[in-house]
Amino acid sequence: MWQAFPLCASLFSLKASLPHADRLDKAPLLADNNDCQSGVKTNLAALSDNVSVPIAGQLVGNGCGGRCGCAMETSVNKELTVNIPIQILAGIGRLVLALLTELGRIGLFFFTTFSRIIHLPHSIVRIAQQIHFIGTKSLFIVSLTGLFTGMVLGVQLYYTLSRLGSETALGVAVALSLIRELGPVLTALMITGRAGSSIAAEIGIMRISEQIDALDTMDIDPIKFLVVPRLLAALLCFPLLTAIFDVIGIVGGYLTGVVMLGVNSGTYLNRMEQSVVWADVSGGFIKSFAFAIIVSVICCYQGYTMHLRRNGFGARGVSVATTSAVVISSVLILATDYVLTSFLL
Amino acid sequence: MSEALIQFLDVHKSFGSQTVLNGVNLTIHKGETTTIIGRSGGGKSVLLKHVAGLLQPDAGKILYRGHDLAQLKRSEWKKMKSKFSYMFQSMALFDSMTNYDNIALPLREKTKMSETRICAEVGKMLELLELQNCTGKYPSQISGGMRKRVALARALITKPEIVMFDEPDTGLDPIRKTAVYDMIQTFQKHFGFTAIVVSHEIPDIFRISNRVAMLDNGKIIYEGSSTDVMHCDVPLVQDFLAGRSSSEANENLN
Repeated sequence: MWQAFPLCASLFSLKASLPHADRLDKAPLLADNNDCQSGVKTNLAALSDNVSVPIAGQLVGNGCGGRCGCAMETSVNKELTVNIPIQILAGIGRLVLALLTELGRIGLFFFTTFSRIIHLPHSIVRIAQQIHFIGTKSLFIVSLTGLFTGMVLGVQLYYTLSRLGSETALGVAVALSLIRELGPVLTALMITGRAGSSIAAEIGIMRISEQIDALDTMDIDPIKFLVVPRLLAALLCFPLLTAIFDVIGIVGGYLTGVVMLGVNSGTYLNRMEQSVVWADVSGGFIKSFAFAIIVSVICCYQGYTMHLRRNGFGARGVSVATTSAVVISSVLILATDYVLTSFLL
Repeated sequence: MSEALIQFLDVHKSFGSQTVLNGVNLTIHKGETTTIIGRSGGGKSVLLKHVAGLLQPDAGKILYRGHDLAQLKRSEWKKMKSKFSYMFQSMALFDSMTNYDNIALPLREKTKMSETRICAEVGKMLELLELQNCTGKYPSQISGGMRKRVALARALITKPEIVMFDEPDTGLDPIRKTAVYDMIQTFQKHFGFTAIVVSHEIPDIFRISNRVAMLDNGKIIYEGSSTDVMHCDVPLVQDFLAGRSSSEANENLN
């Protein structure tokens, strides 16, 4: 039945895995009279039950086989069959090597960045500029996200807890969810989307327009000049923005839980004060620090090394670097969150 | 002839399967202006980037005052780099900084000058290059010719020992071009730096050059004084100077 999909077979080159694959080696290939002269063109419309399309192989033979004047006797290069497992292995090998190379580069970039932190002095002006860009300019979006997250938590947890008759625990549930988990994670994701993408794009454009090379020729260390201020600013801004997110989220939960759904105000605040301990807050801050390192270094790395990638040139290269920065940072934030939560609990 | 400052000894460089430098031998003499000519895409900028340390040769050596650049210690390399300056073909100005900040950056980052002194130094340079009106503007807000001059100012502000100019005259009108040449010549006499210039402006560029080298097919096919180059008997050089497409060049293009 595979004859119904001859073109699919040729596209995916999965001859070895197809039923009746052995027929490919022996199948004659029809060609019309005109094509016989060239010896390579195939008349796909003339394919019959006995005819198969060869897969990504070379046609072997010297034109018309002379059997009928219009049919060309060909066979698929048999070497291809032997090479398929080797090609698959080679493909896997290339992927593994590319992955290891990338991991090695990221590791070196992390190491170099941290080694430059101890090379004093650092420009206070540049760090302040980055604090303004990463922190101040993200304040509104982080506050807005915190407010709505708290409001949703207030509504959802109220209905869950009311089924158990524990509406009085609403304040604790909202506060712990925000402080331990949602605050650090959502803040980091929002900053990644707003500031991380800009960082990757800005450094990427500096790379393709030779501005980073210019720094190098002026004997100005590009990592210290571009990456370290962003890392230091992120280390300061992430925990602060997380704290703001938590507070505004708790206010959001208060608005829906107390003002709209009628939970007692004193209970909401009092139970929260009694139950939230310093370990919850410090755990959230540890996560924020980890996310600050991940987001700032990964986003800088994606822009800084974009010229080393295939298609890492021009506007397309910048767009790929920006997308990669956001996607990789977001995935790493969620993965790191799980690992840290496992250790902190 | 003055002492050899930089020497390329059988330098090879390839990018993937494309060979750009195929055994370059060239000597840059101290205090002179050496102009490298050759077809577009022939590897002239690649050659300059080797001197600046932005690229490393696959084979061969680059000597600075007789010392192999590849063998220099990190501290020696940094010390040497502070004597170099590079004016990029694309100018590579920092587009998020004003023109003033672009020019002042090397002084702010690599010297301990006070802001008042930096302001005075940058002011002098701006006056020399007639750039007083664009200090507060960003590079994208000024014309291409002005950007060239800002890049030139940034390259010269640290009073370097060796300056590499990658097509400093491209895209300038004849008056500005002459002004840039005069400036390079004046600064060169004033500071005594060694200049390596990549240019296509033939024969105008020869006016400020002491020596001319032609790069073709990854090799230096001619090296001599700027007065001799117009009368040299190398057919490829003559064809190039006359703007003729030689048979060998055509073969290479094919």
